[in-house]
Amino acid sequence: MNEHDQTVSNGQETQPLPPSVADGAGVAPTHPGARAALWLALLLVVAHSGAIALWVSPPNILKDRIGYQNLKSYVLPMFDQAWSVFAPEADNGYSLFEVRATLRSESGDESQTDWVKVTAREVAPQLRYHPFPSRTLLITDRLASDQLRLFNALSEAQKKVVHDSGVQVATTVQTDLLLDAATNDAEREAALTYSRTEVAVEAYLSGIAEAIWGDRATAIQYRQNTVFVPTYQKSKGSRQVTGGYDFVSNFRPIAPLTSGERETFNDYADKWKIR
Amino acid sequence: MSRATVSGLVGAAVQPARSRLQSFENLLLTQRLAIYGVALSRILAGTAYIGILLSNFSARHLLFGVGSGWAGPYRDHSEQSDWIGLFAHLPAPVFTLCYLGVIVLGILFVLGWHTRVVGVLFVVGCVQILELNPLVSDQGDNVLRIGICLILLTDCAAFWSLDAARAARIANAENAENAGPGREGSRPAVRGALGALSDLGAHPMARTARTILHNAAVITLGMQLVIIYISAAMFKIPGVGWREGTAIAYPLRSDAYQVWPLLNDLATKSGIVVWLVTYGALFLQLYFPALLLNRVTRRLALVAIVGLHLGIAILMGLPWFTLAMVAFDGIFISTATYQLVGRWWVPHWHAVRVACGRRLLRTPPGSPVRVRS
Repeated sequence: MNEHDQTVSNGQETQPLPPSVADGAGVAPTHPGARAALWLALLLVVAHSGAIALWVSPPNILKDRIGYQNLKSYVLPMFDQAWSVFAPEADNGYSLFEVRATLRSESGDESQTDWVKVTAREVAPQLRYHPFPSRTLLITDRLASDQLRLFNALSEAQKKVVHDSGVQVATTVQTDLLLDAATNDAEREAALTYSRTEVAVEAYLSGIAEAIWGDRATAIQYRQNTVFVPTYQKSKGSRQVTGGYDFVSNFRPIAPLTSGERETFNDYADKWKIR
Repeated sequence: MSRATVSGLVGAAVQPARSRLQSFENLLLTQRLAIYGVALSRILAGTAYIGILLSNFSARHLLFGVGSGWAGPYRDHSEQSDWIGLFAHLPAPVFTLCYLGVIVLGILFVLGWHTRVVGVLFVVGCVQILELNPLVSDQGDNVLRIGICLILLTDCAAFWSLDAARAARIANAENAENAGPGREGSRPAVRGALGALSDLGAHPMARTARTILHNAAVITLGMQLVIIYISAAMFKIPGVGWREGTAIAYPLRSDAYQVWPLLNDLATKSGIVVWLVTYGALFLQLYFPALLLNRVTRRLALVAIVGLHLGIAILMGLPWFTLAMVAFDGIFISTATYQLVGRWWVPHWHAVRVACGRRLLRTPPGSPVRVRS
C-alpha cells in the first residue's frame, strides 16, 4: 500500500489521510510476525487493564485472591489512582483549623492571643469568584481532616498520650510515648502515621503563627472543627452548620522555620490577609 | 451425517468469526486508531498540566519550593517518594527557573514541537514538581500522568502540531525535488548516521511496530477511562445520597466548592434538577462503555460526559481535573466527526484570518489579502 493512499475508517465513511500521517504503510497484515506482535501487545493491554481494574475496584473476592501486595507491586507508583471520589457519600462538609499562640514580650511576660480561623481565611477568599484557584486552599482543610481521622484511629491509651503532651514534650518524644503505648503492630503503625501528620500540621500552623505574630510567638495551640451542609431539603437553602470542636491540642512549641519558609509564609499571609 | 458434512457445517459457522477476526487484525495492523483524538488529547492534557502549574505559580514556594518544608512528612512517605527529588531543596530562584522551564516545555508539547522528547521531559517535570506535595494532589494529576505517558506512545503529533507541519514541508520539498528534471529517484551518495536511522524507521516492519504500539496505547487509554467511570459509579452505588438522588447538592452547597455561590444556589434549588443530575451522573458513569458501542448513543454519552465535567469545572472550581478527563475522552470521538468539524472549520478559519489580515493591514473589503496557508 502506498503511504499516501492510506485511509482511516470509522465504519461509516472513509477519508484519505494527509501526507503528515501517512506513516502506516507497514508489512502486510498477513505477516505472521506482525500478527504475533499484535496479539502479544493485546495480551499485555488486557493484563494491564485487568490489574488496574482490580486495583481501583471496591473490595471483592478476586482482588483478595490476587492479594493487595501483588497488585500494589505492579500498580504503584506509576499507575497509582483511586476513583472513590464523592463516594459512597458526596462531600457534605469540610474541616477547619483555628490557631492561637503564646506570645512572649521583651520583658519575658507571656500572654495568649485570640483564636484565628485559618481555614476560613484561606478557603473563601481563594475560591470565591476564582475559577482557577490555587491548591493552597486545600492545605488546612486536608491537614485538619487527616489529623482528626488519624487521631481517632489511635487507641484510648495513645489518645491520652496526645492529650497529656504539651510544650514540654517534643514531637519526637511524643512519638516514642505513642509507640510505648501501642500494644500491637496496627497501633504502632497508627502512632507513626499520626505523628507524621502532627509534624506537618504543627510546621504549617507554626509558619502561619509566625507570619501573624512574628517571633514573639513561642507556642501554638490549634483546634479542629467541621462545617456541615445540612440534609438536602428544597426549602432550607444552603445555610451551613458548624459542629463543635472535634479536637483541641495542647500548646505545642513553635516548629523551627528556615528563613526561606518564614519569607514564604509572610508573603502568603500578606496576599490572603491572614494576618 | 458424514464427517465431511459436519466439518463443512462447523467451517461455515466458524467462517464469519474468522473473517471478523481477520478484519480486526487488519484494522489494528494497518490503521492508527483515534489519530485525531490523540492529537486533541495531547493539546488538552498539556494545557491542563500548564494550567495547574500556572494557577499555582504564585504559591509555588509554599506548595513545592523552599517554603514547603511543612509538607515533608507527606512527601517522604508518599508512593512517589522514590521518584521525586529533581527539584527538591533547590534555592528559590533556581526552583522558579525550573518551574518556568517546565511550563515552556508544556507549551512546546501542546504545539507539538519534537513532541516525543519534549513530552517525556514535560511529564517528568510536572510529576517532579506536583509530587513534591502529595497532600494537595488530586486524581486529575494521576489521570494526566498516566494518560500523557500513554499518549506519548501514540502518533499524537500527526495532526495539529509543528512536527506535522514540518513533516508536510519536508514531504512537499522531497516531492518537488524528485519531480525535478533528472532528479527522479536520485539519492545522495553519502548519508550520515541519521539518514541510516531514518531508513531503519521507514522499514515496513518498523512502521507496523509503531502502528501496533499506537493502537495498543489507544486501547489501553480507552480501557483506563472505562475503568475510571465504572469504578467511580460502583463506589457511589452504596451511598444513600446517590440512591436518594440528592448527592450532588452537598458539595455544591459546601463553602469548599463554591466558586460562584449564586450559580450553585440556582443549580441546587430544584429538587427535580438535583435528582436528575445525580442519577444522570451515576448512570452515565456506570453505562459509559455500553453507550460507546453505538454511534448515536456514543455521541450522546460524550456530550453528556463533557457537560458533566464542565459543570464540575464551573460550579466546583476544579477546571484542571475537568480538562484532564475531557482531554482523554477525545479519543472516543470518531475520525469522521473530526474530519466533519475540520471541513466546517477550515473555511471559517480562513475567513477569520483574511478578516484579521485586512484589519491589520487596514485594507478595504474586496482588496486581495495574502494569508499564509
